[in-house]
Amino acid sequence: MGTSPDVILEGALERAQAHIVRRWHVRSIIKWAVLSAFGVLFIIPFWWMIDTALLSNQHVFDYPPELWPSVPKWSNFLLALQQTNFLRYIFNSIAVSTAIVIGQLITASLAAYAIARIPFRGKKIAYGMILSTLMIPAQITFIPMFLMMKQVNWIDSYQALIIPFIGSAFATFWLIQAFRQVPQIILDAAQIDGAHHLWILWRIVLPLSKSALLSVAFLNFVFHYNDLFWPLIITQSDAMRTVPVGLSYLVANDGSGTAWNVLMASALLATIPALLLFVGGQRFLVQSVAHSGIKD
Amino acid sequence: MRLIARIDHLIAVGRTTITGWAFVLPTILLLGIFGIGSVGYVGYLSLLKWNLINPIPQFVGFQNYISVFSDVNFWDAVGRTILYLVGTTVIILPLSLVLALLLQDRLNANRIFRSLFFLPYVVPSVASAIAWSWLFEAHHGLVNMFLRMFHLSPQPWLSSPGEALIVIMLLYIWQFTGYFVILYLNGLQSVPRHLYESAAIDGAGGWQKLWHITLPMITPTTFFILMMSIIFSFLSFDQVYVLTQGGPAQSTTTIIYYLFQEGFQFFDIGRAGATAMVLFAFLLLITFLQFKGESRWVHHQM
Amino acid sequence: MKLFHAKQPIAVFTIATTLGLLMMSASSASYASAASKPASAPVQVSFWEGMSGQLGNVLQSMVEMFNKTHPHIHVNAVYEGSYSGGGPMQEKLLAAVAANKVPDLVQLEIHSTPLFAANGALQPLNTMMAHSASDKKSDFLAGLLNNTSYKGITYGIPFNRSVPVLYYNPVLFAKAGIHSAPTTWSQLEQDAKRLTVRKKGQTQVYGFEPVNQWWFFESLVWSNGGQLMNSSLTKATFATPAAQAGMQVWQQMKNQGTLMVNSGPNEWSQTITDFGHGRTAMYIGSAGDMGQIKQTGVSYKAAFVPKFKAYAVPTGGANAVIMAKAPAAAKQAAFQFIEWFTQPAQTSYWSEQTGYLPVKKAAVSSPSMLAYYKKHPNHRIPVAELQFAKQAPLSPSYLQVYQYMQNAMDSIMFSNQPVNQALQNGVQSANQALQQAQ
Repeated sequence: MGTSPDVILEGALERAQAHIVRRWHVRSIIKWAVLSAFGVLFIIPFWWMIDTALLSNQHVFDYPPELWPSVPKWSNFLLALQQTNFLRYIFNSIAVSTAIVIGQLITASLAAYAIARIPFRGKKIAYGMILSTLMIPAQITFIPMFLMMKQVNWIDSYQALIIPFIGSAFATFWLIQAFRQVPQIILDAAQIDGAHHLWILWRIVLPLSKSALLSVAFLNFVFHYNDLFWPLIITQSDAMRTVPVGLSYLVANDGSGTAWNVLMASALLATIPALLLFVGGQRFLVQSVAHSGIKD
Repeated sequence: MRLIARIDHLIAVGRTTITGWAFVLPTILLLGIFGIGSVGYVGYLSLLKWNLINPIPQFVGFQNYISVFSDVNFWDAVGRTILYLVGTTVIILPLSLVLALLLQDRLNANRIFRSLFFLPYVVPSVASAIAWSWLFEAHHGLVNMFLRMFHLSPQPWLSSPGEALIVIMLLYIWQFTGYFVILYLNGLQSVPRHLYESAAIDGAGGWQKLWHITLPMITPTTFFILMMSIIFSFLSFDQVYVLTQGGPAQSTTTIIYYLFQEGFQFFDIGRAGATAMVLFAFLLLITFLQFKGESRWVHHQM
Repeated sequence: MKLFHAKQPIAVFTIATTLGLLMMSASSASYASAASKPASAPVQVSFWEGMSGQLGNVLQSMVEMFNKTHPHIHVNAVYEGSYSGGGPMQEKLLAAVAANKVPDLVQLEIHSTPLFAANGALQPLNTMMAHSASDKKSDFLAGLLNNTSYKGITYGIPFNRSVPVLYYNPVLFAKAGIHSAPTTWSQLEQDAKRLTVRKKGQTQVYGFEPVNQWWFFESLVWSNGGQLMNSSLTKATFATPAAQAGMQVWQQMKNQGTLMVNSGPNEWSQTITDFGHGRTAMYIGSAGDMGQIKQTGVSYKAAFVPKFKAYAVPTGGANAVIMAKAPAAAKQAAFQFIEWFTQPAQTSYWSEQTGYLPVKKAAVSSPSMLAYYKKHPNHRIPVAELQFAKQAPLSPSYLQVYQYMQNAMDSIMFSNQPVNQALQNGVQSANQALQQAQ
C-alpha cells in the first residue's frame, strides 16, 4: 500500500517546521546567551557599588567578597549625607538643571518655530549661526566664559551656572526637526483665522510636539545634572556646589585613606535623582536619544 | 493698484521678518555671546602670554601655537587621544550594532535589556569613575579578584602606563554603549519592511539580508554614531580627572586633559587657548564631515 | 602630587574632651582686647582649607573653638578640595584671584607660594610677624621656614607641615636578623634583599615600597649632592649624574624584585595599607602618615630617610597665607587666628591629632610635648630630621618643573625607561617651560 500524497506532504511540512523550530531555538538561545552575558557585564558595576556601599569597614577588603552583605550597613548612606552638604548639592543640581532646561525650551521653541515655520529674511544666516555653535563644548570655551562671568561679577552664583546654557543649539536643532513635522494645513488654517505666531506656537505647535519637547528636556537635564567641568571652575562656596563637584572632592587623592564603602554610598546617592528621572521618564529618554539620530 | 499691492506685500514681508528675527533673537544673542563670542575670545587669548592673575597680559602673536606644536607632550597627547578614540570606537560600534540587532523585536524582555544597557549613561560620570576606580583597584578590586579566582595574575591597572588608558576606555564603553544601541535601534526601524519582504521572496537568508540590506541601509546611522563617538571620546574629561589625573607617566593625558592642565594647573592661558583653538578646528572639521555625510545619505535614499 | 598627611579617626569624645581642656587653657589666656571691645558684628574671615576626612574634622573643630573664644572674629572655614599641588584648591584659588573674588585666609601648598607671590596675590607678612608677640620668625622651627618666602619676603606661616620619613616593620626586621634601620641607600638596598620574602614565585613581602613621588626624589637628589635647579632658577638640573643615582638605586631594586611601587590617585594610602598588612618591610612616606599607620595596627618604627653623602630632606604640606586683596580688618583677624593656631597648646594638639609637625620652638620643648615624645618616640623622628631640611626651588614655574620630575619617575618605575634618558627628557621639557615663562 502506497502512502497517499497528502501524508507525504504532511510529513515534509512537519519536518520543515521542526527544522525551523530547531533553528529558531538555537538562534534564540544564542541571542539570550549573548544578551544575558552583556547584561551581567553591564550590571556588575552597579551591583559592586551597592554591595560595597552596604559593607562595614571591616568587610570592605574581604576576600572573597560577600556577594551581598550579610548585615547591610545602611548607615553608610547616612554618613555619606553627613560628611558633606550633600542634600544641598543635590538641590543645587536639580534647581540649576531645571532652570537651564526651562530656559532652553523657551528660547529654543521660539527660534525653532521661526526657522521651521516663519519665512523671514535672513533665516539662512540665523540658522547657520545656530548650527555653527552646535559643536562648541564648554571644555573649549571655559576660560573666556570664566572671564566673562568675572566681568559681570557672577562668579560663584546661580546665574553663572545657568545663563550661559540657556541658549542651546542642540535643543533648537532638535525642535526644528520636530516642528517641521506639524502639518502645514493646520497652520495655514490658523493663520487664515488671523492668529498670531505666538498663539500658533503655544496652542498648536507645542502641544503637537510634546514628545520632542519632553525628550530634549530629559536629555539636557541629565547632561547638565552630570556636568562637572563648568561648575568645578565657576563655584567657590560650599553652598553653590553641584553634585558632581561635591563628589569629585570626596575622591581621596590626598592620602587620607579611602573609605570605599562611604564613597560608593555617596556615588549612589548622586545617581538617585537621575535614576528616578530615568525610571519615570524612560520612555521619553529612550525616545529622545533615538531622535537625535533622526535626520529628516 | 499694483503699487498698493506691492507696498502691502513689502509691509507683510517686513512684518514677518521682524517677527522671525524677534523669535530667534534670544537664542542668537546667547549663542552669539557664549558660543561664537567665546571662541573669538579664546582666539584672542591664544595670542597672549598670561597666567590669568598677572595684571598685564603680554601680546606674543603666534608664539603659543609654535610652542604647542613643538611640544612633545602635545603630540603625545594627540597620539593618545587618537588611540583612545580608535580603541573605543572599534569596540563600541560593532558591539552596539550587535546588541541593537538582538533587541530589535518589540518584546518586554528586550525593553528591559535596552534600559539596562542605557542605564550607565544617566549615571554622573564622576560617580561612574569612582565606581571604576574601586572595580580596578589593585589589591581588593573586583576585577583582580576575578583574575585571581581563575589563577591569572592580577594586573596593576591604573598604576600601569600600559593599562590605565584601557581602564578608561572600558569605562567609556560601559557609559555609552546603551546610548548607541538606542541610536541603532532607531536606525534599524527606519529600514523599509518591504525590502526584507522582497528579499525573502528571492530566498535570501538571514546573513544575506543583514549584509545586503540592513548594513547598507543603516550606514547613515553608523556614520552619525561614529561622529558622536569621536566627539564624546574627544571630550572625555571627568573620567581622566577622577581616575588618573593624566597619569601614570602621562599615559592618560588626552588632549582635553592637556588643555585643562595647561590652563588650570600650569596657569598658561596662552598655550591653553592655542590648544583649545586647535581642538575647535578639529571639531569643526568633524561637524562639517557629519553634515556632508548626512546630505549624501539623503541622496542615497532618494 | 598627592600629599603629606594622613587621617586619623578619633573618637568624637576624645576631640570633645581635649577641646574642652584646650578651651579652658585658651580662655584663661584670653585676649584682653576681645573683652574690652564694644559689642559689634564680628569680623568675618573666610578661610579656604584643604583637609579632607578626619583631618578636616579636627581642623573644623579647632576653628569652632577659636570662634567661641574670640567673639569679635568669625572664621568661616570652607573645604575647597585637596590643597595638594595640582589639586582642586589651587585651581580654585587661581580662578578666585583672576576673578578678584578672593578668600581672606588660605591653606596654600608650600611649593605654589612663589607663583602666587610673584603675581602680587599674597600679603607680605614681615611687618605683622615682626610686631607679633608670639609669631616672630624666630619663634618657628627653622626648618619649617623653608618655602614660606619669595624673594626675601615672607608670605606664609607654617600651618600643616611635614617631612619625609622612612618607616619600617621591626617584626619583619627581626625575622630577617636586622636590628636597626638603614641609614644609607646602599644599606637599604642590602637590607631589602634580606627582607624580601618569595614563595612559589610570588613575592609575599617586599623589602621596600616607596611612594613614587617627586617629593622623595628631591631628597634623593640633594642627599647625593645634586641640585634640582640652578641657582638663578633659569634651568632644571635634575639629570646630572649626582641627581641620577637615587632613581638608579630604585630601578635596580625594582628589577631585582625587592622594591615595589603603586600608582594612581590612591597610591599613597595603598602603600600605607600594604605596610600595615606586612606586605612590605619598609616604605618612605610622610610624617603625617603615622595616624593612618597606627590605624592598621601594625607595629612600626620611624627613621630618617637614608642618605647617599649627607642627610637631606624637603619639607611638605601647606602654609597659611593671607590674600593681598582681603579687607584690612579681615587681614588682621586672619593673622590673629594664625597666631592662635600656632600657639604651643594648639600646634601641639594639632600635631598629636594629625601627625603634622608642631611649628613652634616653644611647643617642641614644652613639658607636655616632651612627655608625649617619650611615650611616642616615633613622633620625635621628624622633628629631629628637620635639621636636615632643605628648601625647594622658589620659582613660580616650579609647579611645572616638579610635574616633569614626576613624569620621569613614572617612566623609570613603570615603563622601565633608562634613568638617564627619562631624567634628560624631563629636564628638557622643564627647561622649555622655564624658557617660556621668562
